[in-house]
Amino acid sequence: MLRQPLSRALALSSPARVAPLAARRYADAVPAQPEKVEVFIDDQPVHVLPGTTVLQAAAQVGVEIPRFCYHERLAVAGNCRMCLVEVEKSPKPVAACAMPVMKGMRVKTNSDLTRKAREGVMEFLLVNHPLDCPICDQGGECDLQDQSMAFGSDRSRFTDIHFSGKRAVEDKDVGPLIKTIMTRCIHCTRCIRFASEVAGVDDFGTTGRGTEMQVGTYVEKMFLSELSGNIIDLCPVGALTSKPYSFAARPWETRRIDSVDVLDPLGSNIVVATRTNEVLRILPRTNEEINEEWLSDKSRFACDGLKRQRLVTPMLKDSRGNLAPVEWEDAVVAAARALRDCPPDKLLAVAGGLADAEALVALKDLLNRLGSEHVCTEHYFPTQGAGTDLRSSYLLNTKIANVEDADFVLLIGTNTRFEAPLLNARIRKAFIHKETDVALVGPKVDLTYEYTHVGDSASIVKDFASGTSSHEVMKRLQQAKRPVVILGADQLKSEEGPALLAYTQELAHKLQENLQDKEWKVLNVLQRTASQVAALDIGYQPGVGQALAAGPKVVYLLGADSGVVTRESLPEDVTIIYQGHHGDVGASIADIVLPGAAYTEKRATYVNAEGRAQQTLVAVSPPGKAREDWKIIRALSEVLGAGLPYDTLDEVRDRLSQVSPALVAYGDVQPNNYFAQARALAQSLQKPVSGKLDVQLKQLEDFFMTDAISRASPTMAKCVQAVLKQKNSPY
Amino acid sequence: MAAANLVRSAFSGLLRKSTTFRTPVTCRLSTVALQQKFRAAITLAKAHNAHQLQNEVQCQRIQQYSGGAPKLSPQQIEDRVMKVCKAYDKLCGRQLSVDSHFMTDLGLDSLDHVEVIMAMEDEFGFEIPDGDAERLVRPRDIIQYIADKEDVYE
Amino acid sequence: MSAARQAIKVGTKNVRPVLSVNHGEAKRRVLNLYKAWYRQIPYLVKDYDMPKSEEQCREKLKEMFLNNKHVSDIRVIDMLVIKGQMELKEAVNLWKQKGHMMAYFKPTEEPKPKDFLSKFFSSNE
Repeated sequence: MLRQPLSRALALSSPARVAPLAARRYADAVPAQPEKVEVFIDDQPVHVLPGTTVLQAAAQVGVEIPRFCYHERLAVAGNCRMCLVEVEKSPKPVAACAMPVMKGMRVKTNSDLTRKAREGVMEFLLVNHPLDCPICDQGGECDLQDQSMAFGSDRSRFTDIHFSGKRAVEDKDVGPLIKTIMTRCIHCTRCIRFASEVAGVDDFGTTGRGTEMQVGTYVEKMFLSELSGNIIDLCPVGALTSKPYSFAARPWETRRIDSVDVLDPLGSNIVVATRTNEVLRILPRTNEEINEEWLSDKSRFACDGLKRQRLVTPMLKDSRGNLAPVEWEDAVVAAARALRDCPPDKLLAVAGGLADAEALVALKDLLNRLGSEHVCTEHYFPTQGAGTDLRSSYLLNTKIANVEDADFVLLIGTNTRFEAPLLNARIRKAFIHKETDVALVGPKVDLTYEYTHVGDSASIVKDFASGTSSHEVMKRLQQAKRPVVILGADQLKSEEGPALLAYTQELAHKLQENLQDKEWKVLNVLQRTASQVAALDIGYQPGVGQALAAGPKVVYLLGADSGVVTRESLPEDVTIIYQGHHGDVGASIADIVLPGAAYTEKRATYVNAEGRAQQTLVAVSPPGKAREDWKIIRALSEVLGAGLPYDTLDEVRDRLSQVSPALVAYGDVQPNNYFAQARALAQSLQKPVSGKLDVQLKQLEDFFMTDAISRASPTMAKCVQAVLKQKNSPY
Repeated sequence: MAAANLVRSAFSGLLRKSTTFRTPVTCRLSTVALQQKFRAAITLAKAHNAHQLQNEVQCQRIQQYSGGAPKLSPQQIEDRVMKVCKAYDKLCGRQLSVDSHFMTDLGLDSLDHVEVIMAMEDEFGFEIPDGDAERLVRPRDIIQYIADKEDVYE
Repeated sequence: MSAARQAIKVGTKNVRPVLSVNHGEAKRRVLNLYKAWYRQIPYLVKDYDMPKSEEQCREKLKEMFLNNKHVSDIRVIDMLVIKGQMELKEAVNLWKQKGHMMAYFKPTEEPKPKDFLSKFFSSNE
């Protein structure tokens, strides 16, 4: 019936994955819970806090009141009038979504008046709604269809079709991702509220009134937000639909598989919809602790990159220097020969951004068995001081969900808007609802909310840490009861990186010592890729610079496509073995190519930036002759004679739990400590810093193509084009 | 005369009077079948006469029935039983004694045991019912059983 | 303890027998069927012109019987014996054809790979 029953959204029935406002640990304590009010919903008594609406009270009882414009995470509008219910002693039916309960209120959700009201509202909505169901993408998952069947009248009285007919509205162009057929719009204003509150891009609004009312951007303007795809989910009718998915499938034809997104470091929960072994679309799954119910555009729309530029056969360089497809046996034997003939200290493995924990542990085990310790990640992290030994140095210790309870946020060298869009959405939520203030040290970027730009010099951090800064932000930081410091991991790759980290740890430590709340963690480091945390947990060396300088003879790239490893930086006679799923930078420099599986095609473990392990499930099978990544490494080990001791996924996961039990504790975050120790170890690194902090992703067009899958996606390419075009527009 | 009778009977067979002849006729109108029957009758008669004139002596055909088979002695039974056991391919090369248990000592399973009993049935020419076969787990039991059945006294 | 008793009650039931009432009777049926098939093998090889020796046929017979050796439910054993008798009847009366008899030997079935490396090279499972 309703897309997501209110009780599930408010998670009143499942306390596990949910954190309703009043129950969250860090929420400003609701001072001595005021007396609950008794309300009667259909003669059932229920006790609710004063201030809840009739709709929420009914949801507590289990009664779902139909509505279009109400959404739990947006402000209340009350304009659809579908939630009208009869309240005793009230002359008119009241809008349940907007009416706060009063003591002793008796609500009848199924009386004649209520039913008549619903039928009437539905009739009015359908008067001007076009008969588009057969061609509308929302058919089968449309709130209007469901509610008209459940609550609408069974016969129509619409005779005006023979006279002035139904209203028609022009379609608006809001970008290459959202298809708008505004005739179908019922003016619920959910998209307007989302754009204004959650996305921060205040472009949507209404023009005109009455029949002439139109929802849109008024001037032809692209909806320039990284969260723009969420209005497709929000729209209860088929007015806003997904352009890449248009006319592709009906919801009952698709199979839905739960999974986790790996295109950004937060690990948002997704649902992969497939049909006949191809991925049709990706939708968000509600997870209160990471992504609520939103999903960033790249995660949502880059799925068509899974079909292009795929590696489907193993390849070997032939005599003329071209990669030619071969059988698995030949490729594995060639790779094994190269690995066997290489002296152990000249053997290097580099893990890319989309590698899963099982493949990472298998690769490290294999290299260790061959006598080599050089397993690296592409992204750098300083190893001086505590380095990666103390887990709290490289995670988001204030968990994503707790960031919205912060009262001051300091961002150092990170553009959270494009590096972790859903974290940014949380900061914005705190900014709007809790009056949190934000300060940024770095280049001036548009974060969708107002912040204090302190500057972009790294020495500012030094001043904050030592307390010598005279900036007002310093005072705010020291007075804050729940401050959050987020440092972007990209900043640590320069020579001043260790010093910057040391100063940040010093600052966080100083702030944390003065806090009353002993459970609150201040220091956060935001990694850039989904595999970095798992790799650091398993024991990979962060950063390839040193290892490349040593001149390896064989380099094993596990999906390393970011371009840090190039043929020029390596000696002439090097053999490069690339294992991955897309033919990107890594495969183009390789001598041996082993095709692996992408994240929708394997059951794999990914650890997100907070340290939460999650698993992806198999939605489609890998194309052609591609295999799962850890299986390739295991087969290679067997041919080499250094057989790895695991044959099945469960055995690999046992090995993972040997390395760290946190890697297989799916869905949980382990609380981290040792901040004091990490800072103590880093004290000697506090040297003067003078560099400028710069971020990689400054503009929206940089956001769309950041990894192998999104670079292969035509939808992402169209987005980049459209954003550039919009720059030239006067609006 | 006999041939004429034969032909007449063949003809009437061909015409298929419903109640008299029950033998199936392969071909109604073919004269080939008729001719074949005719020829067969002649060759039969010729062979019959030829046999009688064997050695140019008209001798009596002596019908021979199996009179009494030679009586078995316990030693013979034992030899034959052990011969059959040794011939059984799963047991060849293994040391067999009269008292070795098929299942526990020689490692046969129940199907192999059935095969051994069947081999005994073929050797001695009489059926061993299931109830009895279950109890024959050693060569000695088999020897005893056969001795009982064939009324061979020590 | 009563939970265990309840579990056992749920796990076992008294049911009506199909043919045999105990294991001994079922075993006798099975062995009888085996004997019948065993005796019929030379005739089958001749009638169906099977390009197999009698030894091979006996091996196959043994294998087919041993496939079901783990079955312990008497009714299932009875059903398998009945099906075996049906097969025997069809084979004896020449209702089957050569293809049916040769299919027992599964000539085109490739053995599934069992070790990791063969499984890896053959498919993605």
